[in-house]
Amino acid sequence: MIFKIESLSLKAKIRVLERDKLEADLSNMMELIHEIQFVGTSNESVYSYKTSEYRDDDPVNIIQDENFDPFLNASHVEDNMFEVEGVIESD
Amino acid sequence: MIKPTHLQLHEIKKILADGQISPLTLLNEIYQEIDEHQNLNNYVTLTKNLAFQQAEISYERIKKGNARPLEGIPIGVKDLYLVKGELATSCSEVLRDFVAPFESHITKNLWEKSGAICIGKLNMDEFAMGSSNRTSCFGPSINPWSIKNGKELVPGGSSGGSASAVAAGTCFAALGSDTGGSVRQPASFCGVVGFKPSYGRCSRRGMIAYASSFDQAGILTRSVQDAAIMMDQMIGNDPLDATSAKMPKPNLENANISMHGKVVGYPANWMTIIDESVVNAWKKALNIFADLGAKIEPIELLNFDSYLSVYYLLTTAEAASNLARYTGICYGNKTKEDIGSAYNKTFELFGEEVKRRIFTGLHDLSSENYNLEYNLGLQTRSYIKRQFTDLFNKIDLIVYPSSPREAFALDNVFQNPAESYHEDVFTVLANLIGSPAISVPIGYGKTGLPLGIHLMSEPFSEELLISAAKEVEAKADFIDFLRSYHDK
Repeated sequence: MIFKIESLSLKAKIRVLERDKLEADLSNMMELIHEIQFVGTSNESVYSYKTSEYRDDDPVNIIQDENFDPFLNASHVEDNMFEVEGVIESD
Repeated sequence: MIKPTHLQLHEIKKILADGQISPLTLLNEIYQEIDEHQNLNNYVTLTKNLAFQQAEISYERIKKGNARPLEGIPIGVKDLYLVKGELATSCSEVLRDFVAPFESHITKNLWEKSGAICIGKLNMDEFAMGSSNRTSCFGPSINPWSIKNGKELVPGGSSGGSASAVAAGTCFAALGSDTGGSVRQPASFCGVVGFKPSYGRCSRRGMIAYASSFDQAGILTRSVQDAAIMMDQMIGNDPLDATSAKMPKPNLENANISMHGKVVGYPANWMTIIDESVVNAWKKALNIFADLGAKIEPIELLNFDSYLSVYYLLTTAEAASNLARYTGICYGNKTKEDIGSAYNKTFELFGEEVKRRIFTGLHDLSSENYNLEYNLGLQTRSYIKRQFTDLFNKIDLIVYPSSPREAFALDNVFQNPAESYHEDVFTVLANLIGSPAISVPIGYGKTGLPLGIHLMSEPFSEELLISAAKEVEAKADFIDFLRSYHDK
């Protein structure tokens, strides 16, 4: 089987059409999420916020870049990253 | 005379086993029922070829006297379970034409070991993100109780199609999934039973993931006994799911633990801030337990926004991670629109709510926010779990409403995302701590629509939970949709 690579990319960006609306929504969601601060305040003797060191064995900590893109491996900058000769797609 | 399709699962089970109706006849009647209820938009795929093949096998087994526990019983399946060779879309444009390459652990057991019949795939919120079934790419599922005031109502979500189908009599039980209340809240809205076991009780293999440390299979039925019968067949260790629990299997069908002397806790500080009709239904449930000899104790829980915040912080992070697999290469369609070569063409197809949760999750996981948000969320969840471990040393059961209100209108508009997230306000707790929980119809709200009562117990105490639910159901005097409108 012959593969013809049309193009490759390391990163594909996420398109944001309504930036203002998205920012307003995120702000609203973060407002709710920040209610988390009240969890520990009802009984401070049993709970206080202590953020632990990064755990190297936690796979999520490979995310060091605030511009982290979960679609890092999504290299579809064209409709077809691979075009396979001799294969016809049925409708 | 009650139609066979309107019977409860344990009733039809007996009739099938006695040979009074053949699985093939019953299946034809169920498909006729589905056809008559197309307006509810509950089924997104009908699996007729598979169903009739399974019904033939059931017919032969019953004839030979070697019926399996659910032999010939038609079951609906939420469209996030993989049923091999059938569409599995999670009601998203991204997976609209995805055909399951293998069978989920739960459905494999239900068809092969238990003899149930797969009649079709049920509508749901896209990737299980939503509480009204309005984020489905197939359009919303409709609550059959809409007939009451002539206005279209949501069935709740995300397992809205499952709850609506069970209530309307188009299946005897429906598989759902529960990440933050997706089985229990729609059960409350549609006047059916919704049961989520402890995290780890059921294998998640072959269920399309939303937030892996919260997701758990669940079941919707027309009675507690039916939920118990179904869950007995769904529970079990799966060595191919690392989060599957190696615990002895309970016997829920025969669970019968006395409530006498048990301690039932209720968060008294929540009672002052919810609608009076919901509080009345809550008090009715507490009185039932008191009459059974249980000790009713007020407990102090945090403001429910605190629990909701931890839930949304962690689930959005897990969703961002899980949904990163839809790249258009192995999984996922791509938009046909010309959006420029630099942009992700699969992400374009996600609905607004899914995109919003992915963005939030990415924000929480970024290195700048990781410690103060995601990491803090993990720690806070641990704290809440410890708090409830202590509480369950003193309390056997926690009881409060499944939802702060009745089903709302399909055209109801939420002002912002956080307002819509408050639909899950009572149910997320069980997912945060991994407890089993069940919603049982308890009565009616101020507009005469169903209300559910929410029972929760410590992890892996399903037998106690089901015993309690059977007692509440027996004394609730609730009349379900079929008996209210069809079988008077």
